[in-house]
Amino acid sequence: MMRVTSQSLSTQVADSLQQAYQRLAQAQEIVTSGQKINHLSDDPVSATQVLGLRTIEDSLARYKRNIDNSQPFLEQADTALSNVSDALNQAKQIALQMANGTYTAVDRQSSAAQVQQILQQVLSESNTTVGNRFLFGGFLNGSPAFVQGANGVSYQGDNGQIFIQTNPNNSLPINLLGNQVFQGAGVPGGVGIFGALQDLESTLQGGSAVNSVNLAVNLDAALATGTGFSPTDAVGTEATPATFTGEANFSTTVAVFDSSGQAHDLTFLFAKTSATTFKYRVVANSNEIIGGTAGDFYQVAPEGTLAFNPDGTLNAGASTTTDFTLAGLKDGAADITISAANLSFNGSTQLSQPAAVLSLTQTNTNGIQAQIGQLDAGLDQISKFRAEVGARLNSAQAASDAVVTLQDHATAQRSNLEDVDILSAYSDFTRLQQAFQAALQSSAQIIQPTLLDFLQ
Amino acid sequence: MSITSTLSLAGEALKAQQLALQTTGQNLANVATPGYSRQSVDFVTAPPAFENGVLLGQGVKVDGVQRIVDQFSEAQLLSLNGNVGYTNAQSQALTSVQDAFPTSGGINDALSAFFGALSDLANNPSGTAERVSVVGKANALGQSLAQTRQIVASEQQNLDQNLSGAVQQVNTLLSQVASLNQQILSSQGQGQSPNDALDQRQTLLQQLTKLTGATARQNADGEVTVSIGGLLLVGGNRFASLDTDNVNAAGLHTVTYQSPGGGVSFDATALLSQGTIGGILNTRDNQVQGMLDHLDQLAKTLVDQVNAQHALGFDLTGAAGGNFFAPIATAAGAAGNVQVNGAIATDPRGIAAAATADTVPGDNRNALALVNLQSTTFPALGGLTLQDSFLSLVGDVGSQVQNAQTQSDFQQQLLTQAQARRDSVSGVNTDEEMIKLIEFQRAFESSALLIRTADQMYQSLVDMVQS
Repeated sequence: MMRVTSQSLSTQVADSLQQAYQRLAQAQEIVTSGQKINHLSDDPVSATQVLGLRTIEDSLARYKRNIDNSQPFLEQADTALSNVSDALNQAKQIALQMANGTYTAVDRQSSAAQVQQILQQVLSESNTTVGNRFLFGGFLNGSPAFVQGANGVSYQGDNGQIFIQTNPNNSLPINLLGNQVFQGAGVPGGVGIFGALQDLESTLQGGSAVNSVNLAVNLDAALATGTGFSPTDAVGTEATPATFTGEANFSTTVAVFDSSGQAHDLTFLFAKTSATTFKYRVVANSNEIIGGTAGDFYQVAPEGTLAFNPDGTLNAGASTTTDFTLAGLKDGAADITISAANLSFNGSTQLSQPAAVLSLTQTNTNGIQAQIGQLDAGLDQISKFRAEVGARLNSAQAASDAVVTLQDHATAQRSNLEDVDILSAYSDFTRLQQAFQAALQSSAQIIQPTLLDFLQ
Repeated sequence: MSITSTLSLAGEALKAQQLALQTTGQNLANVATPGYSRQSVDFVTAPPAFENGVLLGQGVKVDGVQRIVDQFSEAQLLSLNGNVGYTNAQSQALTSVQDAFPTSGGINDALSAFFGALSDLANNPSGTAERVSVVGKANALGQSLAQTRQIVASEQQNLDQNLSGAVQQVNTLLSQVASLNQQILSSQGQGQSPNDALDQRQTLLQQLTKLTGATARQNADGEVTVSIGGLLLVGGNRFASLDTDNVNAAGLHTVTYQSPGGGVSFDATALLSQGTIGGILNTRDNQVQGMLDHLDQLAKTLVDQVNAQHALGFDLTGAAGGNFFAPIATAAGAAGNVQVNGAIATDPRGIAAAATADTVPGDNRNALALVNLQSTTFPALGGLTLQDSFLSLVGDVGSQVQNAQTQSDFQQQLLTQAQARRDSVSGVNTDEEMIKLIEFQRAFESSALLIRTADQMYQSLVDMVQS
């Protein structure tokens, strides 16, 4: 049997009261701080996790901030591009209107001033800023991205792509590269927006027109060989149409445009001169030419040759085409030039079928019509970049949603680790308080009585 | 049998009971004295004598006053005291160190805020406010590192001071034990049992083992020999002394041993691995030092890596980046010296956010690269990121404190149990003593009655003669 001594009894009572008191104090700290972990040693693993989660929450808040920060960039870019789009549409309306032959050179010149205004507007959009940063300047966004000089508008930026981090592994480019958007640099089929507007303006002012024509015809192989054209082969030769067409086996008319978008008819005449060779001539109506005789044809270009292979395909090597210019137009339009390089008969055939035009492809740049094509291409380019901005806005939104979800998750996890369930903490506290009181009462009863109390 | 012999028997008995009463009184008086061992009187019957041809008992005789101790319990108490001293010292020191690593805020948040500011700079590399904020957050991080290091280092200093205090106490105890050794030896030479001196020495030995974890061996003549790992502290009345006059390379005190009589003197720090002193030394030189080293390594890596990346970039004026933090040459003390490079602190345009000289002001690539350092792992940090390295330190500290506290509680419990066992043998129970008191009082009374009876017998005889 273990002897119980006065000292060990009192030590034991003091010890157990101390322990009960310590537990009570701990429960009280938990209740008042509302946190399970008040010191690292309370739960080192959870404490470390809590610190880690705090960092994660910080980073997430930062990603959210990055995304929020990118918003004005993308939205401003969208607005700017939308304005550019409107401006180009306006320019296109002007071009369509002026392509109509009823407008005079004076009308065209006044609308040229309007186009100049539009160009200035687009220039200002291209220098949109967010804060003090030029949106389209790349890294060099401290100064305007586009500057108008003697040779038109030039890009001053450096195409630097600015990224922001949207999560630990992903970045989002927030700027569009001005060079691509406005100059079409590096974009397949890219168009210089400023160039197009400038061209439109100068076209409206009255500049020269350049056409290219690709005329593919089939010439009937069954035709008999003739002697060629009757009039002398010389540019400027005038003769009645019948004189020209008398020997011709086939003719077709192609409209080309002058610098103000006015159409002029050119007639291509083909005459068979050997089993595999056709000669062709290009004539215009003489009344379009200053000093021309009404009703006559006027030879525009030197005679050329089309040679065919035995299988009926065009032998381009043996064929000859020449440059030609339709000069001295009566309506005052500048000369229309088609160079040998811009005139081709590719795809022509000599088959035993009735002669016919197989295809006609024509471009005429710098003519108003041509300018409309440019503007359309420009509009396509802008809307393509607007779509990209839209996609980036979407992905920014998605990234932002993801960050918010992760934030909620991390906060919940951290709260789970460190925050006290106040009900259970309070009930723990109450339970320990009762235990402490019970310990006090029982101790008082154990310590008091000794034999002395009963000896009197 | 003569009346005289009855009287003398009763007289001896009175003396014996009185002695017993006095011993009981001594026990009752020392009921609360720590280390006191209850004493009991050894009664033996006096050798019988032939009287009138009969062998008659000659009453009671006191053989001595004994101290009731259980040598095993006492030895156990000594060794457990050493463990309690060690774990207590460790637990106390580490518990106050952990305050340097709060569960919110501190280095962790400062590190995160620094990279947050860099990230904001990446969002707006030409912004002045963002640049000022980077400098501010970097300085706050430096302060946070320095403060934490300061708290840990000051705890190391506290431990160092406690060491000197503990060593002083040991010296006092050693001389006291030696002098008690001498007292006990001389009392025993005179055939007396020096009970109180033995108790006192036992109490001192407990204090001594608590401080040093020393072992005490009792010799046949009653002296104890005290030693630590073969190092003699007390032998008979001779005692060694310790001092903390010397310091090591880190500027912390070492313990020098001086043999009894001062013949031999050497650095005994490595031998003192137990008790409070062992706990202090281990905590000071390994655990707390480890935390300081970890913090320093973290700070040095931060400064080195940020500087290296920063130097690759170009500032707002297009000049090469150079150092962002004032460079730190060695890891030792690095956590106290994390400061933004003076030139950048005065002119935050010097922060290199751009990757090339001709892409300022909009280029944020170097700023992004700096932000990326937050998630980069470094061999210098054992393949961890800066943040994870700090978290591993925090986790370490937490576990060390938790372990130390658990160990300390456990050892304290063992000690309490051993103390209870010792008290159950040697402690005083007042009820028990009270019963003895009554018992001895009654015995005293009966001896007194015997004297009166003998007296009456004398009286009868005298009356008989006179009549």
